[in-house]
Amino acid sequence: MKEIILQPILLGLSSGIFCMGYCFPFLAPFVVLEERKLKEDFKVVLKFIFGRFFGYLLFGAFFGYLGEKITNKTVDLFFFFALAGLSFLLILYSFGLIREKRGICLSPKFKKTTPFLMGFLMGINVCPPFLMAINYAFLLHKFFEGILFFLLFFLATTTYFLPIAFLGFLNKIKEFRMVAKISGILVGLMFLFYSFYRIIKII
Amino acid sequence: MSPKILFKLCQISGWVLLFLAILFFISGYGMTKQIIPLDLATWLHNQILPVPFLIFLILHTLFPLKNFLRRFPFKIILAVLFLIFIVGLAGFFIYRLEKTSKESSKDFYPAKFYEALDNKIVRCNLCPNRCTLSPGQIGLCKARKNVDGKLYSMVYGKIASQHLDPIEKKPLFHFLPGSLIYSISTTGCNLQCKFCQNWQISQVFPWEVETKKMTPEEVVEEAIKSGAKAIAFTYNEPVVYYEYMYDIAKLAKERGLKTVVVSSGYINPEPLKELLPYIDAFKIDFKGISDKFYQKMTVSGKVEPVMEAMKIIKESGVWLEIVNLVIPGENDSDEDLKNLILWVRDNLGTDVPLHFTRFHPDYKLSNLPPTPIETLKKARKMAMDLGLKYVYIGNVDDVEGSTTYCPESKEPAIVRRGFFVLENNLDGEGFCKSGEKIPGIWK
Repeated sequence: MKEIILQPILLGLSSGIFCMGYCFPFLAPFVVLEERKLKEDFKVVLKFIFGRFFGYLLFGAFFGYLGEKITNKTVDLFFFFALAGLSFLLILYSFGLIREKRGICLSPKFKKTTPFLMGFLMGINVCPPFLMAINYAFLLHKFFEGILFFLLFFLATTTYFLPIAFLGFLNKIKEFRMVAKISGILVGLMFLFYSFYRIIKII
Repeated sequence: MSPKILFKLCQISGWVLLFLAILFFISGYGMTKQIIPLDLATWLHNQILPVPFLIFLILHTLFPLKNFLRRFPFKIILAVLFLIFIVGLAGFFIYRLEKTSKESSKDFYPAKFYEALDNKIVRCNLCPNRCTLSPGQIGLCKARKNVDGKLYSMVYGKIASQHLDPIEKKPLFHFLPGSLIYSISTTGCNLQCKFCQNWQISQVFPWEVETKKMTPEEVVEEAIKSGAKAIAFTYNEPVVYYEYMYDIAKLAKERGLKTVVVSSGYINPEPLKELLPYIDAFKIDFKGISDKFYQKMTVSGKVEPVMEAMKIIKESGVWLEIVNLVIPGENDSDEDLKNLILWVRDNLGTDVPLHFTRFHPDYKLSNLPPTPIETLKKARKMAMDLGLKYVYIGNVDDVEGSTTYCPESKEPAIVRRGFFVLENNLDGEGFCKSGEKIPGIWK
């Protein structure tokens, strides 16, 4: 039991910086793009983390239990559709289409849930530390241990995500908001094209 | 901070910097020319001066830096750097994802002994774990992987450790005594014992440690160059690198080298039988007599396959020695020891050497004490009383317990201390002076 607890925590702590690096191109433009108070920036990051949490839980169960029954192709398709969705969401947000006052999504509710949704899509995505965690979870062959593994892995990696909220001080500067918008669109387009390329390759 | 204060600070720190630079030069010059005591000069030059030098250098630059920032579109530059960083990071991760996706089986070696099931699932039949693996999954041994419906060895040709060891270290006491053996290992293990003494390499994936790529030809060549008479597959569990071991052993035989497998014997009969023609000696870790012990101490072990493997080895005529690591409170009861000894006697015979070795706290059993030497001596006496002829104790400095005695005359045949042979009274064929033959491989 001790290993089931310690192993994912240590794995998360040692690879969390890489994990954060992978999420950074998505999360940073999101935090910097709109002028908010520090408290609100924290809320955005926490929602993102919460979304990631659900993504991880889903995967813990998925691989811990169904691991033996699913094929690689299905998993890959799942990954890249999630990545495409995430990229698309970032592009919409960067273009200002997910806003309260204008754009295609008028509902303030949707805007509020966007960080959660992005976190969720990020949580079920393929980042190298995540793939490593999957390798370990594969060895468990058990449903609840799979969930526990990913839960603890998530908690350990989260320690690296919280400081991103402090990037929020940049959203008070006009130049940074502009640059965040451009980078959000560029990053979104890069990952969107890449995920389409991979989906076509898989199919 | 006001510009006036910054300007003053810049001036003062400039003078201090000049003073520190002179001191730095003097101490450096003094150090090389030995004008001032070397210790003092080194201490000043290498340890004391660099820190204030750096601090005053930073203070000295604050004023010009502030001016620079006021005059320059700094915010824009920083914002552009932010953009480059984020887009660059995204590009880097796309590159990594693409690279990872191309790392398929090109670095792996096709594995033997598996069967393909539906949906590209495979079942590995190398060891009794019989892992069922979906594409992408890795076996319990951390050494074999299903890549797109085919099983591959991830450790073939990847040496994690290589040494020239005394053969007594394995321990093999009836096999070329006093010789050196070229020993190699990869990573991974199919039992994952809690008391593992080589856990740094046996309990990891191949990419978690530094490995050296060597073809079987290179291994055999290196062994010959080292002057060793034999190659040992040891340290981690050799069964998990079966294909590599098999290729090396086959080649070694052709080149006149002997081969030794140091294993826990957790292997299925079919692969074992296919390997045996190329192996000269097996040392099997017979960890305990009960399933209960194997289940408690290993990942999913059962004792029956180990017993079966030992019987197959014995029947094949390949030299066999057995080691039992005696762990306090776990497998050291009189009943456990007696049952183990009786099983060896009744199934393998009285000629099979049995080593009781001392446990040292390690890996996940670092809380347990080392085995008392008295327990080992007691086990040895018990085994000899029950009829075993060659019983030793290991991991302790005990000459009597490491000595091979001629069974009838009781005269010392080979006297050892630790891993070293002090006296060898046997002739080249393994005969005592009294004419008794001691079983083993002696040349």
